[in-house]
Amino acid sequence: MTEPLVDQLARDRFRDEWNRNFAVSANAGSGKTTAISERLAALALAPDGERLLARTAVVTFTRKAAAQIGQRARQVLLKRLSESGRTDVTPLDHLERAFFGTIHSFCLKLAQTYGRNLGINLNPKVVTESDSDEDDALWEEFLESEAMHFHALGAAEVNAFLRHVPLERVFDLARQLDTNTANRFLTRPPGPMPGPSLAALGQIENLVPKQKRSLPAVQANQRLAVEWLRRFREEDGFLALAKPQGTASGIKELFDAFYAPVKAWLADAAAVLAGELAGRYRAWRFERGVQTYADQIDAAMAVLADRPTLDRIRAEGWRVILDEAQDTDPQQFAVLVEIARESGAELGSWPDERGEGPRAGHFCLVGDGQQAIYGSRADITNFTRHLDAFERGDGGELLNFSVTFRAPHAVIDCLNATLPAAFGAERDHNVGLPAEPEAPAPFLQVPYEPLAAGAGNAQGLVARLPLALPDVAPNTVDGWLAEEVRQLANWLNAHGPAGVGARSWGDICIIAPRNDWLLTARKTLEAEQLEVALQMRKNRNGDNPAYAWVCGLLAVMADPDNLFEWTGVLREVFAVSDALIASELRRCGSFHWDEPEQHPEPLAGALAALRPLILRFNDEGWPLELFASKLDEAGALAAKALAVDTSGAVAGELERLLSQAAELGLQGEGPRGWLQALLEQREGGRPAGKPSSEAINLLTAHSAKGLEWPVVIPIGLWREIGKFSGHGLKVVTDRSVGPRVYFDDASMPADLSDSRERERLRENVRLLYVVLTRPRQGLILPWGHGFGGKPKEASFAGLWGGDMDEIPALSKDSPRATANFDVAQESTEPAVARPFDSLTADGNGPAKMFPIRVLPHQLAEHVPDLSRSSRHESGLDQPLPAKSADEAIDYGLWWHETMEFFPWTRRVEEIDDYLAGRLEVGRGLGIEARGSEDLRRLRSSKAWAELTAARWTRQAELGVLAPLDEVSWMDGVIDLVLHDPSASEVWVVDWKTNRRRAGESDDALLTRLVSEYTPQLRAYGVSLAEFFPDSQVRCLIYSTAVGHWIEVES
Amino acid sequence: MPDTSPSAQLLLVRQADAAWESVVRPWLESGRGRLQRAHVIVPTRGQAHGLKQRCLEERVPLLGVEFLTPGLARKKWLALGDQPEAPRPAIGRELLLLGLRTLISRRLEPLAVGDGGWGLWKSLQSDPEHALDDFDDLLKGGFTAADFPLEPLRDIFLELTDWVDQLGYAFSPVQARVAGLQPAPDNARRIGGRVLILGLGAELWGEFFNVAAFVRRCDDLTVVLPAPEFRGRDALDERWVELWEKLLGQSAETFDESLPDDGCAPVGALWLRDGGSPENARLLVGATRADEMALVAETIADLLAHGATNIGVMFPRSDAAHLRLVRLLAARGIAFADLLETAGPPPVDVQVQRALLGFYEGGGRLEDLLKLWPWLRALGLVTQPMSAARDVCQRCFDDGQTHQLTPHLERLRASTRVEWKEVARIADLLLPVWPEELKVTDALQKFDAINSRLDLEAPQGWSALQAFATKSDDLYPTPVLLAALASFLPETAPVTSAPGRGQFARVTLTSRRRAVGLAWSHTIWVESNSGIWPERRDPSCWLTDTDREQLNSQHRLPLGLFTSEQRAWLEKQGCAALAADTREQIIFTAAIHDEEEPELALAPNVWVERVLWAQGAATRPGGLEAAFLDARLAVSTPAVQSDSTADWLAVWNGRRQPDRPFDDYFLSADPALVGNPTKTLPARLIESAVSDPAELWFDAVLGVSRVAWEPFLRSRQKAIGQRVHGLLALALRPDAISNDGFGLLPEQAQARRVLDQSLAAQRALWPDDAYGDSFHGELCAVSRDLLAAVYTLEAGPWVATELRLPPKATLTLVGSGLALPVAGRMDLVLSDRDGWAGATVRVIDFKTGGDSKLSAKTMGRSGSSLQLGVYLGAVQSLGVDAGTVLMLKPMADGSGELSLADLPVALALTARLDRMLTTGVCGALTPDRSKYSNFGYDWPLACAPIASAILHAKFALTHGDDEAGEGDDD
Ligand code: SF4
Repeated sequence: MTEPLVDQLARDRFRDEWNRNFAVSANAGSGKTTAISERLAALALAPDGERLLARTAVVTFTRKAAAQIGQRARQVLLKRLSESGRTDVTPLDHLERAFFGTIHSFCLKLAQTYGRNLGINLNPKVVTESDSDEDDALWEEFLESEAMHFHALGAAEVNAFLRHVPLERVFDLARQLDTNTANRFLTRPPGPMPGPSLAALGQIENLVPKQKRSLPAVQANQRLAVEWLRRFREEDGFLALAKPQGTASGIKELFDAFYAPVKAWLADAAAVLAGELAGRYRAWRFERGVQTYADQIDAAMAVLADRPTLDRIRAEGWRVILDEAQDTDPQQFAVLVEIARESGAELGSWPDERGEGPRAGHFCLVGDGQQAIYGSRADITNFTRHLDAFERGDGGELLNFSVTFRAPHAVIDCLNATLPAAFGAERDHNVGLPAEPEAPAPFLQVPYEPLAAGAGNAQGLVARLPLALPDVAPNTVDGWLAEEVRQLANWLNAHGPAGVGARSWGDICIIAPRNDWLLTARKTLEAEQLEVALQMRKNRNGDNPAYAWVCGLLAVMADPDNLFEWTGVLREVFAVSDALIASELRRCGSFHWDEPEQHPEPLAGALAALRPLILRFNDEGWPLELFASKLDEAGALAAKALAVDTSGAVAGELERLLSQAAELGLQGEGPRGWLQALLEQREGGRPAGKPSSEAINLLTAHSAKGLEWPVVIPIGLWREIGKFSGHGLKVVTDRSVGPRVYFDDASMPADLSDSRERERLRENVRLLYVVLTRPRQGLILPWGHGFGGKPKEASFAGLWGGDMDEIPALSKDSPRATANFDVAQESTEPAVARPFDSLTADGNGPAKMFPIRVLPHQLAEHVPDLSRSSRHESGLDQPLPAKSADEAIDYGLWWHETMEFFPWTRRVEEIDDYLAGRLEVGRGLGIEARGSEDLRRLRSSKAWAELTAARWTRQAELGVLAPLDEVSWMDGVIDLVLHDPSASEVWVVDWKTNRRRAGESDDALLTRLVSEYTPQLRAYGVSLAEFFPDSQVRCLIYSTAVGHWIEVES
Repeated sequence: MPDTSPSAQLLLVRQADAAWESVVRPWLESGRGRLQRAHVIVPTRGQAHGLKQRCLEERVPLLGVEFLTPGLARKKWLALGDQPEAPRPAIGRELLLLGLRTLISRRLEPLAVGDGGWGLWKSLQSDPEHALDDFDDLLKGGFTAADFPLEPLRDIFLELTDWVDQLGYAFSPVQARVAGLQPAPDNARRIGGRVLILGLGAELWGEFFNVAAFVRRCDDLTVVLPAPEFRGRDALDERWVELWEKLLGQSAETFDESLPDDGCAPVGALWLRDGGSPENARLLVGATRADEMALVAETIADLLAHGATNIGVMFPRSDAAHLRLVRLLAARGIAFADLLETAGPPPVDVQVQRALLGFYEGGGRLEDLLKLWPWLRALGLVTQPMSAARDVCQRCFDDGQTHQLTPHLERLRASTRVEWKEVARIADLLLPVWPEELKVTDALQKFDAINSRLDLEAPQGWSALQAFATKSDDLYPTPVLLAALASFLPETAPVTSAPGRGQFARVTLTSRRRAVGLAWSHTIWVESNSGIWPERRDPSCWLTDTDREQLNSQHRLPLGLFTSEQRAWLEKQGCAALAADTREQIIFTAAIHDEEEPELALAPNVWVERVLWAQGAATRPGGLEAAFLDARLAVSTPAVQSDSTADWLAVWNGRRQPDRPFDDYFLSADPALVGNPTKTLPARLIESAVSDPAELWFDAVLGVSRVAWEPFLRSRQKAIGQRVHGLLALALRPDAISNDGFGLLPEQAQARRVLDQSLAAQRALWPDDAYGDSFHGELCAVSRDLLAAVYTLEAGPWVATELRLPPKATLTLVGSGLALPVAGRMDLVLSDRDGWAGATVRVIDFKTGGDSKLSAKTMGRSGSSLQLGVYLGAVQSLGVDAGTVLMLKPMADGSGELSLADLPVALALTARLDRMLTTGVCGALTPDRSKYSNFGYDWPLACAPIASAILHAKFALTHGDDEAGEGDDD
């Protein structure tokens, strides 16, 4: 080891002092995963590690991160063990007891473990995606089942509201409210409804346009306002708020002022209605057994709200390690804090009301405020609140991991020089609005923690890629971005990856704050012949070729009349020309999939390939997995998937779909079930885009978080990062007022929208930090003075500040990659599985040494002997046919069991007694009547005399495993064998309970049975001959329906 | 347990081979040639299969030897019917659930949210299955409902117990305990014969009494149990042996003292206890599960080629990977025996029955009717295609805005159209929906009724349910009943064509439970990833581990209830035992990536971890993670690109090349064909055709249309629009109409009266709640506004409502000047005379949403509202003197008006259409689908979208149409 890190002490403490609480503020790349793993390993090695870990929860943001920590922890532990030369690895078992997962799964676990008294859904169906199809359908169901009567507002208010706003607007609001907010709103009923502002109306009426040409518009708007007011006063019908035409002479603002009082009231009313509706929707969801993520948190909160339960949980001594704390929603945060506190501690009394914090050693959080970029769901102040508490020693201690093992020295120097200002109080957006005029403005940004380099960090470089101003300035922002990327592409094409200090294209990552910027970038790079791997969190499933093909293919098979889908399949999967499709459709009006030869090639071939599958589409017992692989063959999908995308991403998707089919199939789903599943997921998305060494990576800043590349190139530094402005009613949470509904952006108070804008900028500063701390090697900044028009404050460059022009320009002999790249991905190319040369036909040759196993009860074609196979070990755990030709299984079973222990030779009374018992059993099965009838028939049959004759030794259910011939052995059980040694006779009796078919005579039935079951009986005969060489073997089939037996010629 | 068991011996073995040589084989051979019953009881059919296979290998024919699992053994002694009291049928899980669910809902009925007890019943209602499992555990462990630690649970399960008792059923574990605990009465019938009990481990505690009961009815016993671990961290296995000693009145003797050190026992030891060695272990890792299976297949082939005699492949369960391996082995022509479950879909009838239950469970929704339709079609019960049914339902939904089928019934019956009639027929077959509560008999009767109406086969195994129905006369909540019915329908059917079934071979696909206690030359442990196996089952909240330990301390029965810790340990021990029975090599295989979540990297499971660790991986650079990744082998991908694929790829790429014009492979065909579409082009289609030709292509050139499958969603916009048009047409319709469709405009007052009447009628159709009010309010406002607006226009006095363009109407396309026949229906036409010739007309379009403005320039540039231009053009072709077209919108005066003079500018884009029709080349301009807009044309499912940038480039190239430059669509 080299000399210890500057923050080594902090790291050691976090690892070893597992009975203390810590808040770790960890700079980017400071290896927090390892730190957490070290702590867990220490726990595992502790004297009662098993008990401790059984109640330890490691909670983080994604399943992937959780899994990684788990794996890393075990690995660290094993390392420690072998270093300490221990052979006993039981501590490893302890780690298995700990919980690793996302906050949601942990909340579910809490609810399931402790929620049994609280009316909590213990195995809900979780709706993960809000506003997915699934979600919409659910809402529809709710609407259908609920009569829309509101109680939170008086009828008058409701009507007043509905007069101006469609109820649907409230729906959209209600669907996004969490329990707290909803309840809050319910407590704030609006007063009586005010009218519009007459003052504003006055201004509108007195409006005189500057230019003549806008006169008509102005007049129209004046009429509009007046007329609106008239209706508002004189009529009572629906009256939407009117939109003025044009914007001439500030008419928009005037109308806003005109409506301001109305809008304010409507917003408040909407809040109440939405609050009520949200509550009812939640209740309904519960009944319906579905849960949203929010519900899962609610459930957990409910558990905690129940005092005795809470104390029970706390008593169990949970230990929580929360990762990515800065991005954790306050409520979720609260859940984790509360379970870690002393029993009896007041709910929510820490840290604000200075209640007792978490118990020592029971709560740790790890995070980095500088990387808080999910303001939408998390609240950075919540994180800092806790950090501050720990800093002042309340609840634990604050540790700083300042050392980064990633950022190269050049980048560290650059950031330490420039970012303190960007995060500093000098920038307006980093401070909030003063509470009162005189008061000091509160500092709301996260303070910047200087980075320190670890031992192995590269020297690396920070360089500016100069952007030249184009002769003709692009007329759109997107045009500018395209221009930037074009110049970047030229540089890359001119100098290759090395031109930016990378070894391969795959070492480079281009990052932008917005998805659509990346799309532009991809378009341009591809136009410049550069290969790119655009990696998106979510790619619409239906857009993936493999997904599309399979969907289409299944759709036409499910509904062969569907010409529309047919055309899709034919052109897409089989590359039939649209011209041919069109002419054939004209000629025939449809596709003759059932007689392909009616059509010319290649159409005919395509139809012929699919025909057999269509015919078997609904087949019973044809496994979906088999169907799927046939589908794959029929469309040569695998080859095509590989052809369209050499990175294998599409092929991978196909793999996924095929195994999905297999799994569905095991649950008894057929092709239709598969299609259904695919259609439902079609609008859903999955992460897509595979990194490969030949392709330049494209990621959004948000997706780049937590990842690293040798070289990072942020694009659009000059470009303003716009805000998404939704329309319609919106909930806005203001620190002072709490959540409140506003009618639209215009009706939001000025200082509120100002402070929201500032928070947005602060978050973008942090987003910038995330971007700048991704590289291990080089940070390349495309920049040109005046490029993209005049500087924008809300752009990355603007937020960064400093003079970009001062950054040394990249030249083709800028310092090259110096330090070693050991990027911890599986970059090591795998060895190819050694070819099994010895592998030839003899691969299966020796296996032939086994005789074929003949299961007699399966010999009968089409009509296997079900009552036998359901009792023969070979048939176990196999589903029984849902309907059998003409044999009722449960009856067959009952009969055979009755015969198995039949007291043939006993006195009549005993027989009666025995049969009475059996019929009793039969009643339970609902087959008593048929049973007694058949028994009566048996006892009055000719066979009866023989069966009960004294000369026999009898054996029912006689198992036989014996050779039939050279190549096959029989493995079966014979219903009844009669042996008369003296007469050296052996009779084989086989019971058949097959029903008589409509109008079938006795003889007909018997002959049918003979023809069907001869092979089975013969097999019995032959095998018995092996054991009774000198006896004569006769085989008899007894039909319960007829009451006779008949001999099978052996 | 007083003991009367006949001659018996109890042996403990450590190794399967030893057991076979010195006990099993001799036992099997000794019965030879006599016609005498003998039974071998093994844990699962897997062991039976293995033993038979060994008999074949060593040529040991068997007569009268029947192999039983505990389950089959149970059937035997039950069938014997020697129980003291009359044998009662054991109640099945399905019925128990029915009972439990009913009891729960009864308890919930009187309670309101928050009432005492509500919470628990509510929770229980959401999760009765686990509670039932726990109850089963209790019974098997010798406890009863009274032992539930939670008072309410005690209470409800006691009631359930009574319920079962009153209905004349019994609990199978109780039956078994009774029959297993006391010796069988001397005079009672006996099964008799010799019994060999082989390899039953403590894991089978739950089945103990079933076996004991059997044993007590036989003569001559040999019991061979796995020898307990030396230092079992848990004495389970010790107690298990004691239990048998009690039963047999014999003390156990161990006959193979210690494990041989060769073989793979040390690999098992690695996991089970300290020490051990990775000597005979090997690890294969594939990038994906699929690759892993390919590696397994190759390995198997290789092992066989090198003479492996008996390879066992251990799967955690039957899953996709298993099925994949089956296919790979079959493809290589390797013979194998497959002991894992497989399943195929049940017969159509059953699937229809499931869909039916779904329909009734949903209360008769349109969507569920549509789910049924394809099945009905498959059964030939309906002739109308899916598309027709979907249209009918869509229409019903749009008009009624309800998903329920019942409200539409009248309308369906009334219709004379064939599609509607057929839907009506089916609706009549299915309806009415079921009431809230039902007796089982009624439910069955209803279900049978619908079955016979659709003539579906009555499902198998319903006799039990029918028998139950005769016994229970109570009312049950319908959802609960439906669930019960569903549970009696088979979910799967046996697979018709599964390789490796019922075969003997040197390769066996099996599971740990089925393989343990047999000897193997090699075992391959697949899917050895953490999180897959060993699986850790947490106890339910109804009977927690603490509860279980607490109950166990009462020592009711020797083994009591297993805790999750004990389960985990038993599994671990089972694996170790299997390792000890593996002679040559243990091969672990795993994957690095999970198909479902390509981002989620998989880790090795704990056993493999220990193997890697023992190989010293932990101390090497990169540690375990690296060692695991290094074990990865690439699979040589066979996919060599065939010519056919190459040709296909050429087409695929061609369609995606920006520098390549549209051709026959991209929505183009013989002009003769495109130039004369399958139908007269409606104005609407012309409008969309110029902004995206794809729609023209599919809709008019091919004449095919999409069958939507999405669930119906209410859309206020759409609903109001549709109604307003209808209402206004009604209100403005003249009393007398000439054959051109014109008549005199009714008095405003009268029109208003008519409108108000029909509005009132409308209101009645809607729910009497805020939702209805809100909708109706807007509907009134909009329609009244528009009506008033009509009367402010100076035109008329002649009027025509919803007037279809006459067949002779044409549109003169800019470009070739071709006169194209057009169709369409105009909302309203005002004219100064009756008829077209020489008239001055105003064509009016009612707009209820959107704030588009009518302007010749925009129309000519972007084609927005081109439809209206088309109307005007068509009207012109009918010989009018003067004409204009305008939009009427509520709360807005004037949103532009076009006159004949504007047409040349306004219709500029029809030049595109002209080019398409004359050249036959259409192509497409479909916008990219984004989070914000997916209003683009919906292509067939199979078509992977092509970037609109590319489409625009191609379009410009094809049609030399600069207007089609990018950004057209946003
Ligand atoms: S293929 Fe059939 S439908 Fe087509 S043209 Fe020939 S006969 Fe007519």
